[in-house]
Amino acid sequence: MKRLISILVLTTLTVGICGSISGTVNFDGKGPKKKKLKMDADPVCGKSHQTPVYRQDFVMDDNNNLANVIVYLKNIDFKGSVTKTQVVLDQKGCVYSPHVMGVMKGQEILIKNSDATLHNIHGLPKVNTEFNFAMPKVLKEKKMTLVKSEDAFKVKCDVHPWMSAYVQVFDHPYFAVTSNDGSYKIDNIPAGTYEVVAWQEKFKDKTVAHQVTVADGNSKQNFTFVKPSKKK
Amino acid sequence: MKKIIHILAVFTMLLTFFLIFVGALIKSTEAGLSVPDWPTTFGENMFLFPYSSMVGGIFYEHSHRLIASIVGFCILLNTILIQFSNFNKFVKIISLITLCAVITQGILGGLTVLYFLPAWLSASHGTLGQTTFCLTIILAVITSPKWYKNKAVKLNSKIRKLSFIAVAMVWTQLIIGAIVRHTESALVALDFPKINDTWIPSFKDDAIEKINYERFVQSFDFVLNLDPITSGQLLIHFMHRSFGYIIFLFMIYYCFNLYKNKLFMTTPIILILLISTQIALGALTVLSKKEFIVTSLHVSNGAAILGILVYLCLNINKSKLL
Ligand SMILES: [Cu+2]
Repeated sequence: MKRLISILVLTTLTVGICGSISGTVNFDGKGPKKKKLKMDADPVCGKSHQTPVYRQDFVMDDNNNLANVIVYLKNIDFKGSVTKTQVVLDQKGCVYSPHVMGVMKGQEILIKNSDATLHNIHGLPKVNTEFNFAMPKVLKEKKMTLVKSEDAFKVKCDVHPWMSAYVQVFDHPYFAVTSNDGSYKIDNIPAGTYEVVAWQEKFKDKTVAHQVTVADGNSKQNFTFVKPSKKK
Repeated sequence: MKKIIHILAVFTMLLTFFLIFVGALIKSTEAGLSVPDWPTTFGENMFLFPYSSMVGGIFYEHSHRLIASIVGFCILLNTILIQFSNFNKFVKIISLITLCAVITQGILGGLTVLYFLPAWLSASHGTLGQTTFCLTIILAVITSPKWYKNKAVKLNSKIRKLSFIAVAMVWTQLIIGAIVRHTESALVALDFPKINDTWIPSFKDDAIEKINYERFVQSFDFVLNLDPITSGQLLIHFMHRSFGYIIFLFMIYYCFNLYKNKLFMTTPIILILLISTQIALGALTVLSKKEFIVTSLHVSNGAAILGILVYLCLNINKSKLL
Protein backbone atom coordinates (compact mmCIF):
# COMPACT_ATOMS: atom_id res chain seq x y z
CA MET A 1 0.00 0.00 0.00
CA LYS A 2 2.76 2.42 0.97
CA ARG A 3 4.51 1.64 -2.30
CA LEU A 4 1.37 2.28 -4.28
CA ILE A 5 0.88 5.70 -2.66
CA SER A 6 4.47 6.69 -3.33
CA ILE A 7 4.13 5.70 -6.98
CA LEU A 8 0.94 7.75 -7.26
CA VAL A 9 2.58 10.80 -5.66
CA LEU A 10 5.59 10.47 -7.90
CA THR A 11 3.44 10.27 -11.02
CA THR A 12 1.51 13.38 -10.05
CA LEU A 13 4.72 15.26 -9.46
CA THR A 14 6.34 14.32 -12.75
CA VAL A 15 3.21 14.91 -14.81
CA GLY A 16 2.51 18.15 -12.99
CA ILE A 17 -0.57 20.28 -13.35
CA CYS A 18 -1.84 20.71 -16.88
CA GLY A 19 -4.39 23.04 -18.34
CA SER A 20 -5.73 24.14 -21.69
CA ILE A 21 -6.20 27.37 -23.62
CA SER A 22 -9.20 27.96 -25.85
CA GLY A 23 -10.93 30.85 -27.51
CA THR A 24 -11.87 32.32 -30.87
CA VAL A 25 -10.06 34.39 -33.47
CA ASN A 26 -11.92 37.17 -35.23
CA PHE A 27 -11.43 40.04 -37.62
CA ASP A 28 -12.13 43.69 -36.95
CA GLY A 29 -13.22 45.36 -40.15
CA LYS A 30 -14.73 44.59 -43.51
CA GLY A 31 -13.15 41.52 -45.06
CA PRO A 32 -11.90 41.35 -48.63
CA LYS A 33 -14.33 40.24 -51.32
CA LYS A 34 -14.74 36.50 -51.73
CA LYS A 35 -13.22 35.39 -54.97
CA LYS A 36 -14.11 32.23 -56.83
CA LEU A 37 -11.32 29.92 -57.93
CA LYS A 38 -11.25 29.31 -61.67
CA MET A 39 -10.40 25.70 -62.27
CA ASP A 40 -10.97 25.39 -66.02
CA ALA A 41 -7.28 24.76 -66.71
CA ASP A 42 -7.91 21.13 -65.75
CA PRO A 43 -11.31 19.62 -66.61
CA VAL A 44 -10.97 17.04 -63.82
CA CYS A 45 -10.74 19.83 -61.21
CA GLY A 46 -13.72 21.81 -62.50
CA LYS A 47 -15.92 18.72 -62.67
CA SER A 48 -15.21 17.67 -59.11
CA HIS A 49 -17.15 20.59 -57.62
CA GLN A 50 -20.88 21.22 -57.77
CA THR A 51 -20.71 24.47 -55.80
CA PRO A 52 -18.22 27.29 -56.34
CA VAL A 53 -14.94 27.09 -54.46
CA TYR A 54 -13.56 30.31 -52.99
CA ARG A 55 -10.05 31.48 -52.26
CA GLN A 56 -8.93 30.23 -48.88
CA ASP A 57 -6.39 32.85 -47.86
CA PHE A 58 -9.03 34.67 -45.83
CA VAL A 59 -11.90 32.53 -44.58
CA MET A 60 -14.34 34.42 -42.36
CA ASP A 61 -17.87 33.53 -41.28
CA ASP A 62 -20.83 35.96 -40.93
CA ASN A 63 -19.79 36.79 -37.37
CA ASN A 64 -16.28 37.83 -38.46
CA ASN A 65 -14.69 34.66 -37.06
CA LEU A 66 -11.55 33.63 -38.88
CA ALA A 67 -10.79 30.07 -39.89
CA ASN A 68 -7.34 28.74 -40.82
CA VAL A 69 -5.49 30.71 -38.14
CA ILE A 70 -2.62 28.93 -36.41
CA VAL A 71 -2.57 29.57 -32.65
CA TYR A 72 0.56 28.40 -30.87
CA LEU A 73 2.72 28.74 -27.81
CA LYS A 74 6.01 30.50 -28.32
CA ASN A 75 9.35 29.71 -26.69
CA ILE A 76 8.27 26.62 -24.81
CA ASP A 77 10.81 24.01 -23.88
CA PHE A 78 9.29 20.63 -24.70
CA LYS A 79 11.08 17.47 -23.61
CA GLY A 80 8.46 14.92 -24.63
CA SER A 81 8.39 12.74 -27.69
CA VAL A 82 7.03 13.45 -31.14
CA THR A 83 3.32 12.87 -31.68
CA LYS A 84 2.80 9.42 -33.16
CA THR A 85 -0.36 10.29 -35.05
CA GLN A 86 -0.04 10.97 -38.73
CA VAL A 87 -1.21 14.29 -40.15
CA VAL A 88 -2.90 14.12 -43.51
CA LEU A 89 -2.57 16.66 -46.31
CA ASP A 90 -5.07 15.71 -48.96
CA GLN A 91 -5.28 16.97 -52.54
CA LYS A 92 -8.97 16.68 -53.19
CA GLY A 93 -10.95 18.47 -55.88
CA CYS A 94 -7.73 20.30 -56.70
CA VAL A 95 -7.61 22.10 -53.36
CA TYR A 96 -5.56 21.23 -50.31
CA SER A 97 -7.33 19.93 -47.28
CA PRO A 98 -6.55 21.29 -44.77
CA HIS A 99 -5.49 24.65 -46.17
CA VAL A 100 -3.45 25.46 -43.06
CA MET A 101 -1.84 22.97 -40.73
CA GLY A 102 0.71 22.60 -37.98
CA VAL A 103 2.99 19.61 -37.50
CA MET A 104 5.69 18.65 -35.06
CA LYS A 105 9.17 18.24 -36.43
CA GLY A 106 9.68 14.58 -37.19
CA GLN A 107 5.94 13.90 -37.23
CA GLU A 108 4.83 11.81 -40.17
CA ILE A 109 2.87 13.65 -42.86
CA LEU A 110 0.78 11.60 -45.23
CA ILE A 111 0.24 13.39 -48.54
CA LYS A 112 -2.72 12.00 -50.43
CA ASN A 113 -3.90 12.46 -54.00
CA SER A 114 -7.63 11.81 -54.02
CA ASP A 115 -8.02 13.23 -57.52
CA ALA A 116 -8.18 11.57 -60.90
CA THR A 117 -5.57 14.02 -62.13
CA LEU A 118 -1.91 14.64 -61.44
CA HIS A 119 -0.40 17.12 -59.04
CA ASN A 120 3.05 18.18 -58.00
CA ILE A 121 3.47 19.03 -54.37
CA HIS A 122 5.99 21.79 -53.99
CA GLY A 123 6.97 23.08 -50.56
CA LEU A 124 8.81 26.38 -50.16
CA PRO A 125 10.28 26.17 -46.65
CA LYS A 126 13.15 28.45 -45.68
CA VAL A 127 14.65 26.36 -42.89
CA ASN A 128 13.83 22.82 -44.03
CA THR A 129 14.92 21.71 -47.50
CA GLU A 130 12.71 22.70 -50.41
CA PHE A 131 10.82 19.75 -51.93
CA ASN A 132 8.85 19.00 -55.08
CA PHE A 133 7.28 15.60 -55.65
CA ALA A 134 5.35 14.30 -58.61
CA MET A 135 1.96 12.88 -57.68
CA PRO A 136 0.79 11.14 -60.85
CA LYS A 137 -2.72 9.69 -61.01
CA VAL A 138 -1.36 6.30 -59.97
CA LEU A 139 0.57 7.54 -56.93
CA LYS A 140 -2.10 8.04 -54.29
CA GLU A 141 0.02 8.44 -51.18
CA LYS A 142 3.39 9.75 -50.17
CA LYS A 143 4.89 10.00 -46.70
CA MET A 144 7.30 12.67 -45.52
CA THR A 145 8.59 14.41 -42.41
CA LEU A 146 9.95 17.87 -41.78
CA VAL A 147 12.96 17.77 -39.50
CA LYS A 148 13.37 21.38 -38.38
CA SER A 149 10.90 23.74 -36.75
CA GLU A 150 10.03 26.81 -38.76
CA ASP A 151 7.39 29.48 -39.34
CA ALA A 152 4.49 28.89 -41.69
CA PHE A 153 5.63 28.29 -45.26
CA LYS A 154 3.76 27.85 -48.50
CA VAL A 155 3.05 24.56 -50.21
CA LYS A 156 1.78 24.81 -53.76
CA CYS A 157 0.94 22.91 -56.89
CA ASP A 158 2.47 24.28 -60.08
CA VAL A 159 0.09 22.29 -62.26
CA HIS A 160 -2.90 24.06 -60.71
CA PRO A 161 -1.73 27.57 -59.82
CA TRP A 162 -4.69 28.24 -57.49
CA MET A 163 -3.68 25.39 -55.15
CA SER A 164 -1.86 26.51 -52.01
CA ALA A 165 -1.52 25.45 -48.41
CA TYR A 166 0.51 26.59 -45.42
CA VAL A 167 2.45 24.41 -43.00
CA GLN A 168 4.13 25.45 -39.77
CA VAL A 169 6.59 23.11 -38.06
CA PHE A 170 6.87 23.11 -34.25
CA ASP A 171 9.29 21.58 -31.76
CA HIS A 172 6.37 21.06 -29.32
CA PRO A 173 2.76 19.88 -29.57
CA TYR A 174 1.11 23.09 -28.28
CA PHE A 175 -0.61 24.47 -31.36
CA ALA A 176 -4.02 24.41 -33.03
CA VAL A 177 -5.67 25.70 -36.19
CA THR A 178 -9.00 27.53 -35.90
CA SER A 179 -12.03 25.78 -37.34
CA ASN A 180 -14.73 27.45 -39.45
CA ASP A 181 -16.29 29.16 -36.42
CA GLY A 182 -12.91 30.66 -35.49
CA SER A 183 -12.48 28.51 -32.40
CA TYR A 184 -9.39 26.68 -31.23
CA LYS A 185 -8.27 24.68 -28.22
CA ILE A 186 -4.80 23.68 -27.10
CA ASP A 187 -4.70 20.88 -24.51
CA ASN A 188 -2.30 19.44 -21.93
CA ILE A 189 -0.22 22.56 -21.44
CA PRO A 190 1.99 22.47 -18.33
CA ALA A 191 1.06 25.21 -15.85
CA GLY A 192 2.90 28.48 -16.45
CA THR A 193 2.73 31.79 -18.28
CA TYR A 194 3.21 31.75 -22.03
CA GLU A 195 3.25 33.98 -25.03
CA VAL A 196 0.47 32.73 -27.31
CA VAL A 197 0.67 33.75 -30.95
CA ALA A 198 -1.95 33.77 -33.71
CA TRP A 199 -0.84 33.63 -37.39
CA GLN A 200 -3.06 34.41 -40.35
CA GLU A 201 -2.09 33.99 -44.01
CA LYS A 202 -2.83 37.53 -45.21
CA PHE A 203 -1.25 39.10 -42.12
CA LYS A 204 1.86 36.91 -42.51
CA ASP A 205 4.49 37.99 -39.96
CA LYS A 206 2.12 40.60 -38.51
CA THR A 207 0.97 38.10 -35.91
CA VAL A 208 -1.19 38.85 -32.85
CA ALA A 209 0.16 37.76 -29.45
CA HIS A 210 -1.06 37.66 -25.85
CA GLN A 211 0.37 36.57 -22.49
CA VAL A 212 -1.67 33.71 -21.09
CA THR A 213 -1.34 32.03 -17.70
CA VAL A 214 -2.21 28.37 -17.65
CA ALA A 215 -3.25 26.66 -14.42
CA ASP A 216 -5.48 23.70 -13.70
CA GLY A 217 -8.49 23.92 -15.99
CA ASN A 218 -9.14 26.05 -19.04
CA SER A 219 -7.86 29.55 -19.75
CA LYS A 220 -9.74 31.70 -22.24
CA GLN A 221 -7.95 33.83 -24.78
CA ASN A 222 -9.45 35.44 -27.86
CA PHE A 223 -7.48 37.06 -30.68
CA THR A 224 -8.46 39.92 -32.97
CA PHE A 225 -6.85 40.80 -36.28
CA VAL A 226 -7.50 44.43 -37.13
CA LYS A 227 -7.92 45.52 -40.72
CA PRO A 228 -5.05 47.89 -41.53
CA SER A 229 -6.11 51.46 -42.24
CA LYS A 230 -4.95 53.46 -45.26
CA LYS A 231 -3.10 56.09 -43.21
CA LYS A 232 -0.37 54.93 -40.93
CA MET B 1 22.88 20.67 -99.95
CA LYS B 2 23.52 24.35 -99.25
CA LYS B 3 19.88 25.09 -99.93
CA ILE B 4 18.71 22.45 -97.46
CA ILE B 5 21.06 23.83 -94.83
CA HIS B 6 19.71 27.34 -95.34
CA ILE B 7 16.07 26.24 -95.17
CA LEU B 8 16.79 24.24 -92.03
CA ALA B 9 18.57 27.24 -90.52
CA VAL B 10 15.63 29.54 -91.20
CA PHE B 11 13.20 26.97 -89.82
CA THR B 12 15.34 26.55 -86.68
CA MET B 13 15.43 30.32 -86.21
CA LEU B 14 11.62 30.63 -86.41
CA LEU B 15 11.08 27.64 -84.13
CA THR B 16 13.57 29.04 -81.60
CA PHE B 17 11.63 32.29 -81.54
CA PHE B 18 8.43 30.37 -80.83
CA LEU B 19 10.29 28.38 -78.17
CA ILE B 20 11.19 31.64 -76.40
CA PHE B 21 7.52 32.61 -76.34
CA VAL B 22 6.50 29.24 -74.86
CA GLY B 23 9.35 29.48 -72.36
CA ALA B 24 8.10 32.93 -71.38
CA LEU B 25 4.62 31.48 -70.85
CA ILE B 26 6.04 29.05 -68.28
CA LYS B 27 7.33 31.82 -66.05
CA SER B 28 4.23 33.93 -66.67
CA THR B 29 1.99 31.08 -65.49
CA GLU B 30 4.47 30.01 -62.77
CA ALA B 31 4.43 26.52 -64.22
CA GLY B 32 8.19 25.92 -64.10
CA LEU B 33 7.99 23.23 -61.47
CA SER B 34 4.73 21.60 -62.54
CA VAL B 35 6.82 18.71 -63.85
CA PRO B 36 9.07 17.96 -60.87
CA ASP B 37 11.39 15.55 -62.68
CA TRP B 38 13.81 15.94 -65.59
CA PRO B 39 14.55 14.60 -68.19
CA THR B 40 11.58 12.32 -67.46
CA THR B 41 8.02 13.69 -67.16
CA PHE B 42 6.12 12.37 -64.14
CA GLY B 43 8.38 9.32 -64.27
CA GLU B 44 7.62 8.62 -67.93
CA ASN B 45 9.68 9.03 -71.07
CA MET B 46 9.01 12.61 -72.12
CA PHE B 47 8.12 11.66 -75.68
CA LEU B 48 5.52 9.14 -74.51
CA PHE B 49 3.79 11.38 -71.98
CA PRO B 50 0.10 11.44 -73.02
CA TYR B 51 -1.40 14.67 -74.34
CA SER B 52 -4.48 14.17 -72.12
CA SER B 53 -2.26 14.53 -69.05
CA MET B 54 -0.87 17.88 -70.20
CA VAL B 55 -3.25 19.81 -67.94
CA GLY B 56 -2.75 23.18 -66.25
CA GLY B 57 0.89 24.18 -65.87
CA ILE B 58 2.12 20.90 -67.37
CA PHE B 59 0.84 22.04 -70.77
CA TYR B 60 3.33 24.92 -70.91
CA GLU B 61 6.25 23.17 -69.26
CA HIS B 62 5.96 19.95 -71.24
CA SER B 63 5.33 21.72 -74.58
CA HIS B 64 8.48 23.76 -73.94
CA ARG B 65 10.49 20.59 -73.36
CA LEU B 66 9.11 18.96 -76.52
CA ILE B 67 9.70 21.98 -78.77
CA ALA B 68 13.15 22.44 -77.23
CA SER B 69 13.99 18.85 -78.19
CA ILE B 70 13.01 19.57 -81.78
CA VAL B 71 15.10 22.77 -81.82
CA GLY B 72 18.03 20.86 -80.32
CA PHE B 73 17.67 18.15 -82.92
CA CYS B 74 17.48 20.66 -85.81
CA ILE B 75 20.61 22.43 -84.61
CA LEU B 76 22.48 19.15 -84.18
CA LEU B 77 21.47 17.97 -87.65
CA ASN B 78 22.38 21.27 -89.28
CA THR B 79 25.74 21.44 -87.51
CA ILE B 80 26.60 17.99 -88.90
CA LEU B 81 25.43 18.98 -92.39
CA ILE B 82 27.41 22.22 -92.28
CA GLN B 83 30.62 20.45 -91.25
CA PHE B 84 30.38 18.28 -94.37
CA SER B 85 29.40 21.14 -96.69
CA ASN B 86 31.68 23.54 -98.51
CA PHE B 87 30.59 26.52 -96.43
CA ASN B 88 33.49 28.62 -95.18
CA LYS B 89 35.15 28.31 -91.79
CA PHE B 90 33.10 31.14 -90.25
CA VAL B 91 29.82 29.29 -90.90
CA LYS B 92 31.28 26.08 -89.52
CA ILE B 93 32.47 27.77 -86.33
CA ILE B 94 29.17 29.60 -85.76
CA SER B 95 27.26 26.34 -86.18
CA LEU B 96 29.48 24.62 -83.62
CA ILE B 97 29.01 27.50 -81.17
CA THR B 98 25.24 27.29 -81.67
CA LEU B 99 25.33 23.57 -80.93
CA CYS B 100 27.31 24.14 -77.73
CA ALA B 101 24.89 26.91 -76.72
CA VAL B 102 21.79 24.80 -77.24
CA ILE B 103 23.24 21.83 -75.34
CA THR B 104 24.23 24.09 -72.42
CA GLN B 105 20.79 25.67 -72.57
CA GLY B 106 19.09 22.27 -72.35
CA ILE B 107 21.15 21.30 -69.34
CA LEU B 108 20.48 24.69 -67.69
CA GLY B 109 16.77 24.13 -68.24
CA GLY B 110 16.96 20.76 -66.52
CA LEU B 111 18.93 22.22 -63.64
CA THR B 112 16.37 24.99 -63.08
CA VAL B 113 13.81 22.23 -62.44
CA LEU B 114 16.06 20.08 -60.25
CA TYR B 115 17.23 23.04 -58.16
CA PHE B 116 13.76 24.65 -57.80
CA LEU B 117 14.34 27.68 -60.02
CA PRO B 118 16.93 29.77 -58.18
CA ALA B 119 16.77 33.28 -59.68
CA TRP B 120 20.33 33.32 -61.05
CA LEU B 121 19.85 29.97 -62.80
CA SER B 122 16.48 30.87 -64.31
CA ALA B 123 17.81 34.26 -65.44
CA SER B 124 20.82 32.55 -67.06
CA HIS B 125 18.48 30.13 -68.82
CA GLY B 126 16.46 33.07 -70.15
CA THR B 127 19.56 34.98 -71.27
CA LEU B 128 21.27 32.03 -72.92
CA GLY B 129 17.99 31.15 -74.65
CA GLN B 130 17.85 34.51 -76.39
CA THR B 131 21.57 34.40 -77.13
CA THR B 132 21.06 31.05 -78.83
CA PHE B 133 18.23 32.65 -80.80
CA CYS B 134 20.69 35.33 -82.00
CA LEU B 135 23.09 32.59 -83.09
CA THR B 136 20.32 30.90 -85.11
CA ILE B 137 19.68 34.27 -86.81
CA ILE B 138 23.36 34.63 -87.69
CA LEU B 139 23.36 31.12 -89.09
CA ALA B 140 20.21 31.76 -91.13
CA VAL B 141 21.78 34.90 -92.60
CA ILE B 142 25.22 33.55 -93.39
CA THR B 143 23.92 30.36 -95.01
CA SER B 144 21.73 32.41 -97.34
CA PRO B 145 22.69 32.58 -101.04
CA LYS B 146 21.87 36.33 -100.93
CA TRP B 147 24.60 36.84 -98.33
CA TYR B 148 27.24 35.78 -100.86
CA LYS B 149 25.61 37.22 -103.95
CA ASN B 150 25.16 40.82 -102.77
CA LYS B 151 28.28 42.83 -102.52
CA ALA B 152 29.30 44.21 -99.17
CA VAL B 153 29.28 47.99 -98.89
CA LYS B 154 32.19 49.58 -97.13
CA LEU B 155 30.81 51.60 -94.25
CA ASN B 156 32.33 54.14 -91.95
CA SER B 157 33.49 53.05 -88.55
CA LYS B 158 30.92 55.17 -86.72
CA ILE B 159 27.92 53.24 -87.98
CA ARG B 160 29.76 49.98 -87.35
CA LYS B 161 30.42 51.02 -83.77
CA LEU B 162 26.80 52.05 -83.32
CA SER B 163 25.60 48.68 -84.56
CA PHE B 164 27.65 46.87 -81.93
CA ILE B 165 26.63 49.25 -79.14
CA ALA B 166 22.97 48.69 -80.05
CA VAL B 167 23.32 44.91 -79.69
CA ALA B 168 25.27 45.26 -76.45
CA MET B 169 22.70 47.63 -74.94
CA VAL B 170 19.71 45.44 -75.70
CA TRP B 171 21.57 42.31 -74.59
CA THR B 172 22.34 44.04 -71.27
CA GLN B 173 18.70 45.05 -70.97
CA LEU B 174 17.77 41.40 -71.59
CA ILE B 175 19.89 40.36 -68.61
CA ILE B 176 18.39 43.09 -66.42
CA GLY B 177 14.92 42.03 -67.58
CA ALA B 178 15.62 38.38 -66.78
CA ILE B 179 16.72 39.41 -63.28
CA VAL B 180 13.56 41.50 -62.81
CA ARG B 181 11.50 38.54 -63.89
CA HIS B 182 13.15 35.89 -61.75
CA THR B 183 13.57 37.96 -58.60
CA GLU B 184 9.84 38.81 -58.72
CA SER B 185 10.61 42.50 -59.18
CA ALA B 186 8.07 43.27 -61.90
CA LEU B 187 5.31 44.31 -59.52
CA VAL B 188 7.31 46.26 -56.94
CA ALA B 189 5.33 49.21 -58.29
CA LEU B 190 1.85 48.97 -59.76
CA ASP B 191 1.91 52.31 -61.55
CA PHE B 192 3.40 53.62 -64.79
CA PRO B 193 5.19 55.87 -65.76
CA LYS B 194 5.69 56.84 -62.10
CA ILE B 195 7.13 54.30 -59.68
CA ASN B 196 5.10 54.11 -56.48
CA ASP B 197 3.99 57.67 -57.13
CA THR B 198 7.50 59.07 -57.56
CA TRP B 199 9.74 59.58 -60.59
CA ILE B 200 12.89 58.49 -58.86
CA PRO B 201 12.26 56.04 -56.04
CA SER B 202 14.02 56.25 -52.69
CA PHE B 203 15.81 53.09 -51.61
CA LYS B 204 16.02 54.05 -47.94
CA ASP B 205 14.59 51.72 -45.31
CA ASP B 206 11.76 54.02 -44.28
CA ALA B 207 10.64 54.51 -47.88
CA ILE B 208 10.58 50.74 -48.46
CA GLU B 209 8.71 50.27 -45.19
CA LYS B 210 6.13 52.80 -46.30
CA ILE B 211 5.65 51.02 -49.65
CA ASN B 212 5.32 47.68 -47.88
CA TYR B 213 2.68 49.00 -45.51
CA GLU B 214 0.77 50.37 -48.50
CA ARG B 215 0.97 46.96 -50.19
CA PHE B 216 -0.22 45.23 -47.02
CA VAL B 217 -3.27 47.51 -46.92
CA GLN B 218 -3.91 46.96 -50.63
CA SER B 219 -3.87 43.19 -50.24
CA PHE B 220 -7.22 43.51 -48.45
CA ASP B 221 -8.79 45.21 -51.46
CA PHE B 222 -7.10 43.18 -54.14
CA VAL B 223 -7.38 39.57 -54.90
CA LEU B 224 -3.70 39.64 -55.55
CA ASN B 225 -1.42 39.05 -52.59
CA LEU B 226 1.29 41.66 -52.73
CA ASP B 227 4.42 40.42 -51.06
CA PRO B 228 6.68 42.89 -49.29
CA ILE B 229 9.50 44.23 -51.45
CA THR B 230 13.20 44.85 -50.85
CA SER B 231 15.32 47.79 -51.98
CA GLY B 232 17.25 45.40 -54.27
CA GLN B 233 14.06 44.51 -56.11
CA LEU B 234 13.11 48.15 -56.45
CA LEU B 235 16.57 49.01 -57.76
CA ILE B 236 16.61 46.36 -60.50
CA HIS B 237 13.07 47.36 -61.51
CA PHE B 238 14.10 51.02 -61.71
CA MET B 239 17.19 50.11 -63.74
CA HIS B 240 15.12 48.11 -66.23
CA ARG B 241 12.68 50.98 -66.77
CA SER B 242 15.33 53.72 -67.00
CA PHE B 243 17.57 51.76 -69.32
CA GLY B 244 14.55 51.08 -71.52
CA TYR B 245 14.11 54.83 -72.08
CA ILE B 246 17.83 55.29 -72.74
CA ILE B 247 17.69 52.50 -75.33
CA PHE B 248 14.70 54.14 -76.99
CA LEU B 249 16.59 57.42 -77.37
CA PHE B 250 19.71 55.66 -78.57
CA MET B 251 17.75 53.72 -81.18
CA ILE B 252 16.30 56.90 -82.64
CA TYR B 253 19.85 58.20 -83.02
CA TYR B 254 21.00 54.88 -84.52
CA CYS B 255 18.13 54.73 -87.03
CA PHE B 256 18.72 58.37 -87.96
CA ASN B 257 22.31 57.42 -88.82
CA LEU B 258 21.16 54.44 -90.86
CA TYR B 259 18.94 56.77 -92.91
CA LYS B 260 21.72 59.27 -93.36
CA ASN B 261 23.84 56.52 -94.88
CA LYS B 262 20.86 55.43 -96.99
CA LEU B 263 20.94 51.97 -95.48
CA PHE B 264 18.07 49.58 -94.75
CA MET B 265 15.03 51.71 -95.34
CA THR B 266 12.39 49.45 -93.76
CA THR B 267 14.30 47.71 -90.96
CA PRO B 268 14.76 50.93 -88.91
CA ILE B 269 11.04 51.65 -89.10
CA ILE B 270 10.27 48.13 -87.86
CA LEU B 271 12.87 48.59 -85.15
CA ILE B 272 11.37 51.84 -83.84
CA LEU B 273 7.89 50.33 -83.97
CA LEU B 274 8.99 47.27 -82.04
CA ILE B 275 10.76 49.34 -79.40
CA SER B 276 7.72 51.56 -78.91
CA THR B 277 5.60 48.41 -78.61
CA GLN B 278 8.11 47.03 -76.14
CA ILE B 279 7.78 50.06 -73.84
CA ALA B 280 4.00 49.82 -74.09
CA LEU B 281 4.12 46.08 -73.28
CA GLY B 282 6.39 46.78 -70.34
CA ALA B 283 3.94 49.37 -69.03
CA LEU B 284 1.04 46.99 -69.59
CA THR B 285 2.87 44.21 -67.75
CA VAL B 286 2.86 46.43 -64.67
CA LEU B 287 -0.61 47.90 -65.14
CA SER B 288 -2.25 44.53 -65.86
CA LYS B 289 -0.46 43.07 -62.84
CA LYS B 290 1.46 40.61 -64.99
CA GLU B 291 -1.29 39.32 -67.26
CA PHE B 292 0.42 36.22 -68.60
CA ILE B 293 0.04 36.84 -72.34
CA VAL B 294 1.14 40.48 -72.07
CA THR B 295 4.17 39.51 -70.00
CA SER B 296 5.16 36.76 -72.42
CA LEU B 297 4.77 39.11 -75.38
CA HIS B 298 7.07 41.58 -73.63
CA VAL B 299 9.71 38.85 -73.43
CA SER B 300 9.37 37.64 -77.02
CA ASN B 301 9.12 41.15 -78.47
CA GLY B 302 12.37 41.88 -76.65
CA ALA B 303 13.90 38.85 -78.35
CA ALA B 304 12.66 40.13 -81.72
CA ILE B 305 14.35 43.51 -81.11
CA LEU B 306 17.61 41.84 -80.16
CA GLY B 307 17.30 39.64 -83.26
CA ILE B 308 16.81 42.59 -85.60
CA LEU B 309 19.79 44.40 -84.09
CA VAL B 310 21.95 41.32 -84.58
CA TYR B 311 20.75 41.13 -88.17
CA LEU B 312 21.61 44.80 -88.75
CA CYS B 313 24.97 44.46 -87.06
CA LEU B 314 25.80 41.45 -89.20
CA ASN B 315 24.92 43.26 -92.42
CA ILE B 316 26.69 46.46 -91.46
CA ASN B 317 29.88 44.56 -90.72
CA LYS B 318 29.59 42.32 -93.74
CA SER B 319 32.70 43.68 -95.46
CA LYS B 320 34.80 42.57 -92.48
CA LEU B 321 33.30 39.09 -92.47
CA LEU B 322 33.45 38.13 -96.10
CU1 LIG C 1 -2.56 20.24 -58.48
